[in-house]
Amino acid sequence: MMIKNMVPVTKLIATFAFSFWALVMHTTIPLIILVAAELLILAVCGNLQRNSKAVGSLAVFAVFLGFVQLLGGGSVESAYVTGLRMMAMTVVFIILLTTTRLQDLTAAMVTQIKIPYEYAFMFTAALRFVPDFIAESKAVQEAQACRGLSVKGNVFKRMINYMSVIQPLMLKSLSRSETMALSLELRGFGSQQRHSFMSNVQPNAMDYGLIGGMILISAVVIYLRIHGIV
Amino acid sequence: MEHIADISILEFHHRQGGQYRWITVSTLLLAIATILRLVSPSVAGFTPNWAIAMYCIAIHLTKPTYKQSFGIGMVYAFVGVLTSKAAFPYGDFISEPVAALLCCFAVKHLDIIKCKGHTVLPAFTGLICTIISGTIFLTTFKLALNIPDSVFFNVMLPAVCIIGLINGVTTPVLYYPAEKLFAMRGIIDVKSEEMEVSDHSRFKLSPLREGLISMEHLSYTYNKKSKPALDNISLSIHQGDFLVITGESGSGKSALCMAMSGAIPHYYGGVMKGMVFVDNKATTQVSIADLVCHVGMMLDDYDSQLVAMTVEEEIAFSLQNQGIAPNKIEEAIEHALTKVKLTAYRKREISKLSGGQRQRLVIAGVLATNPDILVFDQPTSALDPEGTRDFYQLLHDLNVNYKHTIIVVEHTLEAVLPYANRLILIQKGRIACDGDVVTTLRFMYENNIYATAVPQVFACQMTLEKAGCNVGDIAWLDLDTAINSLKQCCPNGGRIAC
Amino acid sequence: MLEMKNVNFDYGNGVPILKEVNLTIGEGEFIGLGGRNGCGKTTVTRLLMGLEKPVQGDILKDGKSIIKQDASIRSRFIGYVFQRPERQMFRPTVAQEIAYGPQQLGMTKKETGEAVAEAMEAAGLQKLAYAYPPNLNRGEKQRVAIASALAMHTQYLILDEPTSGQDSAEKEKLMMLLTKLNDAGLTILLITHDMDILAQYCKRVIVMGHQTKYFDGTPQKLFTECDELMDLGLTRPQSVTLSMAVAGMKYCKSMAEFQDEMIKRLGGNA
Repeated sequence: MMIKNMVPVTKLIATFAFSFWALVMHTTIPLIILVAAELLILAVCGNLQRNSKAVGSLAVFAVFLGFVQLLGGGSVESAYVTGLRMMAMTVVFIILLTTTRLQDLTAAMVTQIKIPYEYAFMFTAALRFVPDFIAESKAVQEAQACRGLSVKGNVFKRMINYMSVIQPLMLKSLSRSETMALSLELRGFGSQQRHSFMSNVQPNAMDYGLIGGMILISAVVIYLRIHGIV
Repeated sequence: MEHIADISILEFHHRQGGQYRWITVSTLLLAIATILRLVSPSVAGFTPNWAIAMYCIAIHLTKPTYKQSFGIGMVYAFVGVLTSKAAFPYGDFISEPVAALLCCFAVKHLDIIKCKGHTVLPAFTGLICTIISGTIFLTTFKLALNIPDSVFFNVMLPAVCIIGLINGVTTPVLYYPAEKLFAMRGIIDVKSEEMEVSDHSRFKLSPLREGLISMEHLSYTYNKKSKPALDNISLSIHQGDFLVITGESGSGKSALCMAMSGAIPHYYGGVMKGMVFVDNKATTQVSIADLVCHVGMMLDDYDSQLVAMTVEEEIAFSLQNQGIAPNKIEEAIEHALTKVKLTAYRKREISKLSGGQRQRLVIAGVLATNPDILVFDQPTSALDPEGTRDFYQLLHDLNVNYKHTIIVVEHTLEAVLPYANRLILIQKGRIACDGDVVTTLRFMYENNIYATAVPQVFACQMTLEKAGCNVGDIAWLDLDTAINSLKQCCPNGGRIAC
Repeated sequence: MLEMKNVNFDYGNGVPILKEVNLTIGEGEFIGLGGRNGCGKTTVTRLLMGLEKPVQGDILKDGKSIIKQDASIRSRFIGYVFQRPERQMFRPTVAQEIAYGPQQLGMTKKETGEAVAEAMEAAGLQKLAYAYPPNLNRGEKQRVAIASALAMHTQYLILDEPTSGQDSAEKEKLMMLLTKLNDAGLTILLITHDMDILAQYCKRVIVMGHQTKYFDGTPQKLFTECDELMDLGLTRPQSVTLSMAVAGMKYCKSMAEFQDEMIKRLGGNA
């Protein structure tokens, strides 16, 4: 699909564009159209099912925000605007993150947006350890349970007990960080200025076209806002 | 260019390294923060903000620069947005970096506040950074979404203060054990180290002996220690060797490995005397990164060496670090996968691999740069007997079919000796014996140096010989040889005079 | 006495792990638990400890069902030493680390102090009382974990591959400690892949195979009479293989025994 063929940098620009439009628009109908467009894009990519829980909870939160606005003395229109604007600014992030492979995203951020490689590395390496640490935290919990740690008791007691699960986990990670720091040097990390990537994230004609289109729409939106239409 | 007459007195001083410690500590604490967000218990709906606590601890421990702290804040924000589908991502991208910068400032300039000898700075940063971060986040949230003032001032800000107080407690509670670990492990603050760093670039150094690796009168003392870990070691390693290094714990085996890859002296610091030549290059004249194509190392905690999400990215890592073109990386990945027999797992995620597969992946990652020499520091401590057998079978394959030189540090010798051509015994930093397997085993047994590591069957043969029994001339290096010898010397049972 | 009666277990995905397992562990026994990877030996110990619940069947202590008690309650009488003991350590000294268990059980400060001192003496850790646990070597950490369980006054001790990753000298030290504790009355259940340990130290061996308890008897019976050793993922200890290669030699449970017998046989001087 077209979305899949867009390179990450185009999707990043699209994310900011949609959020910009959501900020500029301040009447209900245009925002509804914007949110519907985003949900449509999500469905077309085939990711609506997978993210339905996240979108659902965001929708609930949007409604909650609307109520907060009403209670705080705002008009009904402003309540709708608040809720819809929040939906518009967050659903587009879900689109970005579920349709882009992480390695492509990091490649784009380093080569095109010029973010230093160290930070892209931190990002992917942290995610790589998350499943391991989940398993590890379960193992630590079991080990402490075998030494009498109970899960019952009031909240304060539970917080204190939980420290005896977090602390070993943290200490083990810090030991690991030493080995990892040495291992990075042994694998030439940071030795060259130019870091190469396997993914090809160069934008092509379609991408430039879409970016151009988005700039145009942004100009139109600003124009319409100045004239009070959106 | 100066010439050196006697290399054994040439010294090299280096401060403790670890330039990427700030990255690894931040990364691993970020992973912890991510899972804590998912499983943490809450008090009336309020949970500690684990991300802020973790990056405050990371900044306290590694003391990064302002730019690095800013980057840490951004990465934490991004991972937070990714994993928790946050309700307002933009707020995070502003609040976390600012709070991280604030923490960095506090660590650099406010370290003088002490109470009973312990610094109370972590409590302070935990509290203030959480409140500032929360306030910035909520302010951007309010401005973007037009939240009414009453809600902002009466509900949101007090909530932030409560979470700030919770963090003001959790941050120091988690920081003190971490600080103690760093102190007890001797990981000191790199930047405040005053030690001079030697420069050998003006010397012309060349090895006296042939060999892929030549160590000449190498002595080494770890940073801030008085007793040397290695004492006047001279040894050469030749192409195609399968060398096993053994000795009691603390005898210097690991130090010897580290000296081969340049980690000693560049990473561990300290004082090095004599010289190590890898492929005719002196390790004091090159950096660790220059030796990557010659020596590949597998450390004893192999899980920490895996840093990517999938198998192919892991193998590509070393090559991408060197800026190699994508098509060459393709070839190297395929080649490495074939060597370790993981080709079918190319697209698999690392978290779905078993322990033995992960170890093979680490080897593949190291093989990517095609080093001649592979060094393994106690590789089988986490494997069961079957896994150990498979592992050494793989090393044998790499040694014989792909002509790699293999160096293994081991204390359980049974599984590895059938493939080795050379065994070195280290005792108190010196080489006690260097020869083929049988010679060194005999030496260990007869001189009772680390004799408990001598394989049981061989030790049995030595004991029987010592008691005057004739059990044949062939060395009992494996069970089958022993059985054959026994069958020959005691075919009928009953007493046979020796 | 601990019993498992007709226990069935699976992870809910239809693949049975254990079927109709019946097992009795008497007081004072020294039992080795073996079998190939995935045979269910770790699962058996986890069911006994309360880390998993059987799908069917019952677990009893001294005749009373303990199936509703979770691990933290069963920790009063069963101790579990995991394969990676450093996972549970976080206190600054060994003594404080060992004190964790008694504190969780609600013992007073005085009782805790006594329990810790006794446990350290039993495990030979007096010299390391103020050492920093993460800096200890593998064998010492293992002993701290054992002492942590002893301080809770357990009657049964389950150990999951305690000697993995250790060299022969450390293995021997650890097994001598376990033998000493067993002589003093502690019941020990040891999961291991090491055939030498099964032969030399265990008085009874249980082998899990084909989703149930396949063998239950003495090590001698296992290594001399069982035909399906390979099938069950086991091998013979080297001393036993060597003794079987010599005609007329008796069963030798350790290399030392084999050496003595050979020297007697061949008439040399010891």
